Amino acid sequence: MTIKRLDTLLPGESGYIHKIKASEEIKHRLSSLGFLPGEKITFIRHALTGDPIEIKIMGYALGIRRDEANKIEVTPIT
Amino acid sequence: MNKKKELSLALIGNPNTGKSTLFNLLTGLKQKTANYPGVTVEKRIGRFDIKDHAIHLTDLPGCYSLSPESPDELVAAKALYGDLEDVKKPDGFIVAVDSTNLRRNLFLATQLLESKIPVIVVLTMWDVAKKIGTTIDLEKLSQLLKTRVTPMEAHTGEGLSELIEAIDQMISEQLVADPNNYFPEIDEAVKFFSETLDPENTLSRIEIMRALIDQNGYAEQRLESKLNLASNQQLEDIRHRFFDQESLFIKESRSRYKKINAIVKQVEQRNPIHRTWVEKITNFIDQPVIGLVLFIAVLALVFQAVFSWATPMMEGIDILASKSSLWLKSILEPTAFRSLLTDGVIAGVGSVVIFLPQILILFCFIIVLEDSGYLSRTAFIMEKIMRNFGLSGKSVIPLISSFACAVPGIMATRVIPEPKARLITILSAPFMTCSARLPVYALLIGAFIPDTYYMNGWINLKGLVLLGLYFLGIFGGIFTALIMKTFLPAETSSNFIIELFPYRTPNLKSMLIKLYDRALIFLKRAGTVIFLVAILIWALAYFPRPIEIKNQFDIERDLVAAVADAKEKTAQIIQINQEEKAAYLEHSWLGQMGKSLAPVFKPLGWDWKVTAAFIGGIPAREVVIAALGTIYAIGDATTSESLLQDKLKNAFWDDGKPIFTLPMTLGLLVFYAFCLQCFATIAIIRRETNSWRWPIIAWTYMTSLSYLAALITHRLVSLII
Repeated sequence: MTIKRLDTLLPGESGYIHKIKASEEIKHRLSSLGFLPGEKITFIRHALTGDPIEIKIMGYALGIRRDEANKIEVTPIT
Repeated sequence: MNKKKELSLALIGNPNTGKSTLFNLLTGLKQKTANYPGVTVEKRIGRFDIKDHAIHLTDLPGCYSLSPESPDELVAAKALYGDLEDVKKPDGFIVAVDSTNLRRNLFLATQLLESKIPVIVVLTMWDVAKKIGTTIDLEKLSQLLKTRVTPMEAHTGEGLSELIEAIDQMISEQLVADPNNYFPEIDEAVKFFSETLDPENTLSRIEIMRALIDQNGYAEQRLESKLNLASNQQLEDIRHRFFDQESLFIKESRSRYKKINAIVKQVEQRNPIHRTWVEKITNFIDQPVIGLVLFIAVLALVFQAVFSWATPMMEGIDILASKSSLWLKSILEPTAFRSLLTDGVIAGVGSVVIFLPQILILFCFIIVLEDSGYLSRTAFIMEKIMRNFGLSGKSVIPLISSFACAVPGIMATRVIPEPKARLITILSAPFMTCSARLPVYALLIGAFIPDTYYMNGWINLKGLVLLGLYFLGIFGGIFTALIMKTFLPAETSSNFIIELFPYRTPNLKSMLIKLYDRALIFLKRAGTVIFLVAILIWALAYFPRPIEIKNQFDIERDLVAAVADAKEKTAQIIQINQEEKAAYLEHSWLGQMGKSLAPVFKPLGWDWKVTAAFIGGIPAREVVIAALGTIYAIGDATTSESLLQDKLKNAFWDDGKPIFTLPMTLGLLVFYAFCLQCFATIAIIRRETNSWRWPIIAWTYMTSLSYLAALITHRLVSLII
């Protein structure tokens, strides 16, 4: 089972959240938004400038910075 | 008539769930907007009646969780405990839950369902959910949540009567709640807390539970003070005793979402058979390159609308103001009172109202962008670029708005969650070239910049200078942002997590109510300040009125009386009257101030007249034109711009050199590009930063910067020509 960082997924790829390694504060914010281990997450696209990125979780879209995305580990769905 | 029973309800929900639409539909125009004391979070309270109950509805700011992480969420959390100043503890909650996004929305809803306050769950966007193939079993959901659930359509408002019925029912059932438990793992700890620290049972389960979860947060602090604990040590001990290292916050999320998932599984059916056209459009316009093109097109449209659609209305207001001024002059004797009415009141009110068309158009666009879900995209697109300047993606709209007027621009900075980025945006906003600078630019450029054409007549030097001034403003804003980014302490927590809301058709009625509400705030904030200041400036320019001046000009008028030709006589009388007015101004307090301050501005090439006009324009920069008009004795400046331009061209120093030379004029233009001559902006910075510190810093900084820049411009241009 490979583990990848969310920001290394390609547009359109999905994965299940494995672990979130961000600061407590960001972890709290993300957990109330549904970022919990096992939840499916899809990388939709990145902004023209490459950062931030758009992801989809629980059916809604969210923009987050690469700085945050690279702290989210996922197991890609192939 | 018997007195109605008062009842307090609070409306709460995730951002952009149709919560404010719900609020507007329930209360209509019976609403008041203010700030919560000490914070710049908007407090909206409305009223409506159900049978014999007068219901006060508080619209709480959008939030995702009861553990507050922003000032907005703190207000929502405080409401739960009844800790908000001048808001009664709610007797019931109405929770807006987006039907298209049930799981995440139920997170906050289930947190509230653990309190002893009764809750009505309103499933908003009911029609949108249906369209995308999502059905929700209302009865089952109501059963599982143990509370009333009513559906509500997004833009028709269908479902309002069911909601009112549900509220009525809630009242008749004595407002009792049947609390749920979505985090049973914490129960033992709560019980232990209760037994050891709160033996008299003064606290409810939810108060203790939220305090345990909210480590170092508001709920914890409030228990500390309620129970007179010296520190949070006892709470920490309980946390250690019952739980391992992982934060309770994450544990709560996990437990809650587990239960929510079980509920949603039973009530929700998703059959996304086909992609809706909204999805197709979203996928198209959210692509990086197309998104940028669309963004630029939207900006161009907003600019076009604000600057060209508003012109006829602005001209109308201008004509109305001068007509009513003339009318008053025709029916009243020339007394101080008449002058106060025409030169003080009408001029003051007019200078505010004239910007109203632009502001309304601007607000219209912002509300449409907000309610349609596009605003979050602008932040997404611009985030990286703005971050370089210490700003946020969310600074874009406030800064764009500031090209019309800095007041609504600064008001719009509330959407920026990070305090530092918000402050930087507030202080950069006044540099954007607002509409009040345009008349000043137009006058000076029209008079002193040669009408030269380049590139076969395609480019005009006058236009080029105007464009340069716009860029100068932007440059000033960026420069300021960079300085502040360097010198302000770094953001304590900087993250950019922004929901990209699904595109939606906004509700028209709700948008109109919002527009009305914001226009009223603008008129109140900007209006009262500018109005009062206009009267002050009028008084400074009118008094004192030494009798010698009158006597001197009476003699001249007597001399003219001998002139035979009636036409010639009137012309001379008008001329004398205007010269008298100018003489009065010279001896007025404003004129004296101009004379005593003139040495300071001498290096910029200003004489006392320009200095006095500058002082007159300190409260509102556009007043400088009217002030110049009076000083140069041309009567009503607004109707005779070319006359004023001629007068300026023929203004000389005592030694015969012209005052308005090219270096001086360019310096003056640069000065007006940078200076903060606008009390309305100062007042709004005061309101939005909650202290006098930043408005004072902003004024001092911008005034020094404008002086320096004008001086440098003056010297450089003098060297070149």
